[in-house]
Amino acid sequence: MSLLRKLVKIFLIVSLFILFIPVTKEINLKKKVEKVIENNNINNIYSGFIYIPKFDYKNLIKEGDESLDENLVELTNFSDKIDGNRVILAGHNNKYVFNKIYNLNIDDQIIISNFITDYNYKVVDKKVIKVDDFSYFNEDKSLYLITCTNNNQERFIIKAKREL
Amino acid sequence: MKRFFKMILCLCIMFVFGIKGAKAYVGEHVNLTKQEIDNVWSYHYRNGDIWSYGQLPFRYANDKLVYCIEPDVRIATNDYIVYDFNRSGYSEEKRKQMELISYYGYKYDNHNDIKYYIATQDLIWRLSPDEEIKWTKGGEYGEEIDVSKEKNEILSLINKHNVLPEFNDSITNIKVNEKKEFIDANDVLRNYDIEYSSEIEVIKDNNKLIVTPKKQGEYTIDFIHKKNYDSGTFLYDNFSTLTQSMAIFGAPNIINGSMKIISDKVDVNIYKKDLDTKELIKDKGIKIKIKDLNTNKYVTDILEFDDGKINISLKEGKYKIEEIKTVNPYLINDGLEFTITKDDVSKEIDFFNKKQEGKILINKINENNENLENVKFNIYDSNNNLVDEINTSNTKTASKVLPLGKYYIKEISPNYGYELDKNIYEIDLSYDDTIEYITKELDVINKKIKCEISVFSISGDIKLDSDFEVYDLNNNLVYKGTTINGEAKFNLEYGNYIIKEVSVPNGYKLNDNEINLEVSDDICSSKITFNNDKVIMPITSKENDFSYFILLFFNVIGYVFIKKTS
Repeated sequence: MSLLRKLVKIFLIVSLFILFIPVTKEINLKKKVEKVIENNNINNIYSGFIYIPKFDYKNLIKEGDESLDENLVELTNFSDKIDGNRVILAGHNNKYVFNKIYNLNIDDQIIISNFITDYNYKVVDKKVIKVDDFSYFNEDKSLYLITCTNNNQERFIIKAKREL
Repeated sequence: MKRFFKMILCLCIMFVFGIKGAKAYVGEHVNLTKQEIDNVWSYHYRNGDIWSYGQLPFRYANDKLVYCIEPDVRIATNDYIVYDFNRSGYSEEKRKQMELISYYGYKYDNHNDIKYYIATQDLIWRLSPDEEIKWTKGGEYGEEIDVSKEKNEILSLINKHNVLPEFNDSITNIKVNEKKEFIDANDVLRNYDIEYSSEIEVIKDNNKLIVTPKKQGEYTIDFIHKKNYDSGTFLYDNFSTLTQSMAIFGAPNIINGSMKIISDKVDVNIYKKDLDTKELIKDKGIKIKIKDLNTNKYVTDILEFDDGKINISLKEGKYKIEEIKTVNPYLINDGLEFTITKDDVSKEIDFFNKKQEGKILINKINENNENLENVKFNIYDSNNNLVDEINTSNTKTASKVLPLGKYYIKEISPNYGYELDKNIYEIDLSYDDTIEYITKELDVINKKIKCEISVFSISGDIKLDSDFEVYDLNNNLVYKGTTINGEAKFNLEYGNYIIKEVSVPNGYKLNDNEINLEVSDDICSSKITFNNDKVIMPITSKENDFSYFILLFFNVIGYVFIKKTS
């Protein structure tokens, strides 16, 4: 019995550490984001960053599939650059990335930046599309945020219009 | 000294007698001589009966022909004495008539035939009362000598004795060197000698006067009645022997006259000539007017050149020829001033005209109206002779100056990148008297050589409808197109370009390669392919890890277990 108690205690201690991992991860991510922004993307690794004031959410934008794995925002391979006409960003629907965008409403503000210039967008639409439907990404001066929904069968899209 | 006076006296006596020898003087004894004339007899009748008759000789006193004035009186002696004619008993009127008969009778002008002598004597005798005369060649009934024609002629001349030539007192303008004829309608010119200045040429031809002034000036031609006799009228008689009276007749009273010739104009010949060839322009239609520069008034109407020449007469002065009209292909002459001086006798003026010329301006442009340099043209005349070669500049290029006519312009070599224009253009440099130079422009548009470019947009086997743009090296957009079913064709001029794909269908990734393309003689047709990757929607399903909640759940259970078992 005592052995079991010892094992449970050990489990409790280890699992407490494990439970702190996501918190640490989030803290580290935030630090990283702040540092990159502060250093103005000194290593030119990132394409820019996104800031959603409503959630005080800030994350880095990066090209390539690995950015998703790093819980960063991916500048998709069918997107223009940050300063481009149609910017299409994707992010996991987890708490580090885009799980809050479901709560964005019309006229909410989104800011993306290429570390030089900030571009203000306002949410104009949100929609769920099929995974092979690219026709929604056809509006100029628009920002699209993509994240998964419906068990990866569909995509939840936020469309925002650039403000001049 | 006495000897000297004797010599003077002798000289005076010789002088007086010398005069006596030359001319008759009253009281002079003269020995009459005669010269017989064969077969000329006069028969004098009174009251129908023969009164006297005799042979007619020439009788001379001091070598001068004398006439019988008493037809019925015999000649008893040759010793005659000179008297004043008044002693003849004839009236003054008859004396004048005799003088006129003598003057116009035998030996006057061409009156040399013996018949004129007979007629003269006849007319003188007939001034005696009741005189009837018959002239024969011998015997009362011998062959008659008819002198009526000669008598009428003499009487006619007498009637015109006081008549002057018709143009007496006239004033006539004649140009210098102009020959003018005056024909005397009064038919008396032959009775006059003429006197005139050496600066005028006057020819008297019977009844005609031909006048030619040789210099400018005013001239007088005097008509001096001819004097056939240099002596007076005298009576020859010897009253003591009752012989027939003779007489010699001097010149009758004569009148003189004159005419005036004004020669203040000279002949001016204006020749219309080609400036280059100096040859006469004989075309009709060239017209001028002449202005007097002193009065600023025209002195002629509009004059037209005839066979290249105009003849006018002008006074001394300063003038200007003003051209009113010219003819193809000549330009209007601006005018020519000339002066006629007092010494000029004529004036020859060459009035030149320059042939109108022209130029051909070749405006070699492309379809965008831009000038093209270094395009070579040949210009041929209507005989297919090469007259000019032109290499175009960056503006309109002019040919050399060409005579009027039709020309043919042929492009020899185009600018690089342009098609050769195979047309032959005709340009007519036609006459226009309103401008100095004819300039005809020719716009020759060269089309650029265009090469066909094919653009393909694909993704694997899938043909995409993609937009692409073509830029020149100055980043100017020169073409914008869309592939249809994965393909687009368009034409590009020679040059270097950059082709970019600018949009692809949804689901495909834009190919952002910029393709450099050279279009030239060597590389005219090109095929460009844009390969596009298919886009894959990112997988963003890494949701929150619920294992942490399970772990937390087990932690709570573990915590409760420890609490309860402790």
